[in-house]
Amino acid sequence: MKRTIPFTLFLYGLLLVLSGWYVVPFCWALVTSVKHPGMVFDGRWLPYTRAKSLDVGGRMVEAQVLQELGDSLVVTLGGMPGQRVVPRAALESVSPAWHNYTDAWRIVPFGKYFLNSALVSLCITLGQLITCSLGGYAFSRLQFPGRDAVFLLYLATLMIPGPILTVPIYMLLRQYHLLNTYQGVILPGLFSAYGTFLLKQFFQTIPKDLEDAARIDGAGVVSLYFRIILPLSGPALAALATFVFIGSWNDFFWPSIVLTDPGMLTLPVGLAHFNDIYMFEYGRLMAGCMISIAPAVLMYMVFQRFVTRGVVMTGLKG
Amino acid sequence: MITRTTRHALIGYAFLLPNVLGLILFTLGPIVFSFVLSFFDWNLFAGPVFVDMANYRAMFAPVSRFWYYLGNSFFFLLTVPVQMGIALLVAYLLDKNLRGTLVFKVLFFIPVVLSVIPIAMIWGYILDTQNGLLNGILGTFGIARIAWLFDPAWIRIGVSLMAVWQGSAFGSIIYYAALQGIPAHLYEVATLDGAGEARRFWSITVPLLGPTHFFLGITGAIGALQMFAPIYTMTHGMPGGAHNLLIEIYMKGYQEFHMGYAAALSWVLFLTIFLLSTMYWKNLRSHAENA
Amino acid sequence: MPARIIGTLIGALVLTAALFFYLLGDDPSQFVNFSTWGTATEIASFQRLIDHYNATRSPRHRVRLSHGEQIQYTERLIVQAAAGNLPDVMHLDRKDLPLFVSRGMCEDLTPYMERDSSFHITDYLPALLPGCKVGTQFYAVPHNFSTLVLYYNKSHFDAEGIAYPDSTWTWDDLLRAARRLTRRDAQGTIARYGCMMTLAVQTLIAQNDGRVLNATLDSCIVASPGAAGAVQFIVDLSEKYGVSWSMLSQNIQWDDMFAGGRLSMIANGRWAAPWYMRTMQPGSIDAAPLPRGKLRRGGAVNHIMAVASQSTKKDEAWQFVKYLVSEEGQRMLNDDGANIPALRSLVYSDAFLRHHTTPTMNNSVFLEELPHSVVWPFEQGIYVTHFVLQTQLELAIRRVLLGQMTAMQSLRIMQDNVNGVIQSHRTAPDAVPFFGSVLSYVCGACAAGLFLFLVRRRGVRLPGRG
Repeated sequence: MKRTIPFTLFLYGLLLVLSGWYVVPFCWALVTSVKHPGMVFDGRWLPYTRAKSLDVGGRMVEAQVLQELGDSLVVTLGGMPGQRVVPRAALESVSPAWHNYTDAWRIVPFGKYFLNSALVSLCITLGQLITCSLGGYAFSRLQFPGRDAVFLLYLATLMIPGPILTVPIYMLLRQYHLLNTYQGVILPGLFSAYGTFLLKQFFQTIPKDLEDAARIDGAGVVSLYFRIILPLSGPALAALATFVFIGSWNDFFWPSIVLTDPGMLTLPVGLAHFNDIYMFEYGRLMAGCMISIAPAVLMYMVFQRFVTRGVVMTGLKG
Repeated sequence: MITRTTRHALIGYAFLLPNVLGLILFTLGPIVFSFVLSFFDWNLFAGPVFVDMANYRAMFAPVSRFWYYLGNSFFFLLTVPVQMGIALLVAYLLDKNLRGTLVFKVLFFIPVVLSVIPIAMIWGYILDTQNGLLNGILGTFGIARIAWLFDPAWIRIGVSLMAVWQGSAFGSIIYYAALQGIPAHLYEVATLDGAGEARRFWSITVPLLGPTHFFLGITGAIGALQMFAPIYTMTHGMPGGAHNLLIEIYMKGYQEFHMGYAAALSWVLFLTIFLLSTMYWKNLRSHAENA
Repeated sequence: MPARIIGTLIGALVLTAALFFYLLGDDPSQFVNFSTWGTATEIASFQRLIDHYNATRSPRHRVRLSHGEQIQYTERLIVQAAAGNLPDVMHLDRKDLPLFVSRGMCEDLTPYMERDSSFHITDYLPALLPGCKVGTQFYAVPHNFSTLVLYYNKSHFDAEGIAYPDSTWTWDDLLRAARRLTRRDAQGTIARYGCMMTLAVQTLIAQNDGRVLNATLDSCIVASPGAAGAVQFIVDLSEKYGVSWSMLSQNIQWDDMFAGGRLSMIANGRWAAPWYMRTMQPGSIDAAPLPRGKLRRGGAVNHIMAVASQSTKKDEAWQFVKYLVSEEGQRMLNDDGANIPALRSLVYSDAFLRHHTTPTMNNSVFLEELPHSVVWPFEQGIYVTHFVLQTQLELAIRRVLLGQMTAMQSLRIMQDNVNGVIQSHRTAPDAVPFFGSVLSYVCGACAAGLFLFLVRRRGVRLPGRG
């Protein structure tokens, strides 16, 4: 199809406006993460740093900023009477505070939190792939009494408001000494109606002929699952794995309730403890945020191809 | 003797076993517990006292402001069509395969991978009254500062902006994937018939995405009726006009310690969502049958 | 191909199972569990202290640190108490004590103190002791505190020729100085704010002879002329005089504004001092007492150590509490300069008065403010948590800021709301007999429905057969 040039330009214009809507907040966060303390809320888009002394005739004199006036600063100079107005450039220069990142890394045990998060997210992802694919297969291919009733029940669980489940689950975990353990975080996350629903939809799109052929060869239900269904569902499993991984990587509420040992916290929870009223360095805090989201961003970039393919094949396509 | 049917059924149950176990332990059990709890008064200190319908009666008393909170829950439903519209537009643009699409694709999807705290921080700044980005932009048009996250009248809008931002990014992933599945020859035929870009969009793209609209619509609506974390984190627990039913459940349960009342509220919210979803489902099915 | 997949799956299962068993938690009852909150730095410092303690004690004294988020720390402990899962030693704020004691969560420590000849409660600052008592009994031991002071930028005062704040300052002096310190640019936008008093709201109410809760902490009495006057003063600072930042804005920015020279005075706690010193030119900042209203009142956060009454290791817990407030424990706490230790001999020595993080600051201000301090940032009732009160007051101030009503009207709404919550807890509901209740009919109907369903199902072939 040929497109006219004005129309292409129009499309680009729209793309740019929309990317502004998505990207500007993120860019602001990136810039803030390298801003210097005291200069975070100066209303500028670049990270400025302000020198504490000024070169006056070859001598370095301590300079105190009294007021900001557009492009100039009102300052007092140490040992000299009166106030003077100097251009901003005399005291301020653009310099990213990269040390925010090293400081954040040093103060918060990100390495440990990272491993904790990785362990929890991988276990949940793996577990959901197993339980959801088993369930999806049963709902889409097997015949047994009560199947549809159980499936409806399953869908209904999607609609249950989360907070009300916390107290009973908390008490359950306490009963089995699972509080403050990784299992306590992982176990409730292993089962997902959403994932089962997604995989059931996908398995239904796999042609039945393949199974019939295999059945003639004497394959049973179990071997059909392993030989036909699983090998053909790579993209759908990858899509589900990506969503589950990102979801559990970012999960905050449940880990923050179960985990209390400071050495066992996951990244988002550890980060929240970093963000309390004793914490003044907004730039450093933002640097911590950026470090914490990096793995999920990378994961997404690597797997986005599969996500697209997986979703196309789950029957949500046109 | 085990017949083939019984064997099939047994295998079916075996496949479902892990799921059903999880369902019973972590969802059904707790939900039954909370149903029973909703007939009790329990403040976490004294043991639960059976009060029958008292929690439900209290809920519909005027002082409880139940209808106001429910109304706020419904307000967030308005974000669903908006975010679906933006998502569709983004997906449509990405599907045009312009140069540099890959870069845009990664950038557009960033909101999806951010976690609660960075999002609350970023949007807290954007919507800030004094130094915020949005008020800065509006200021250049001569619009006075709006206390997006502090004025009870505006909080709903402020939170919705954020919800649309994140929700539309997720929607565009799904829409983009779905667009890949529309056969190109349909467009070619339409072009030969003299259909313009707009006509092709409305007559081919939009109708063929039916299942996707349905999926995003229903999950988006369930999510919107249960919106919690964005409101709570962005308003620091003072949601003003964004005080919806789920926030009320959390506050009554975990701040004022009326666990039974919170359970009763959850059940009402659950039934509301369930009824609406069923209606939506039925309605859609009858449409499909008539078409 | 299938063999490979089955192999992978089995491998994955084995791996998951192995991880599960490897990670199985330790039985919590073999430790003395100690719960606290705080930043990563504070946690690291507690962990060092605990490691040191564990290395020198027998295994049954071994302590394990557990950590909760600060914002909902009180609520979290209450949920833990209901689950029978309270940590043995609890780091608390003094505001928590009346609530927790009234719910039977804390052990009476008076007998422990009397039995233990190596412990002397008189070693600690006397002003901190009332916060550890309920009635005549000690339920906790003082650990550290932080007083609310007025930090000011000396160079701003010098440039305007204003005398530095001192203990004689009143609200009028504060306002007068703030108006002179506020600077606007050519367009009239404020380029430098005079003062920021938002963190002191509750203290200002107390200074103006107002109270949020009554003396027995079971009724809200905030709708008084004193409290309304204080709220009006806070609102006027931004709305009428334009010397302060509106409370309808994010609070995370103040400290950065102060450090960047865009704010001249800020009321804040001791924890801010080391950071201000590090970020600003050390000579340009100092601390002064809060200005006084009708009464002289300050604000102080007092952190205390309590032992859970549910604990099965109370004696071990008491030993650890003693260690936390010992000379050694208090010295380690004092090191970062963010908290002030409770041990009298330590705070009145150069270890605090010339603290290495704030050597040029008037550190004795923090001690002088303590004796007349009220609970800060917010008190807590025995039926409502501080979170509810704080939220309600902030909402009340917002209504005034938005011009919706007067301070008095707004505080009356707050008082009604809070007393509503209190009332709902005070009046225990009457128990209803189960038989004859609506729930019993619902259960009966469900049982009957299930029975009919099963009976009808009998004659029907199971779906999927054949």
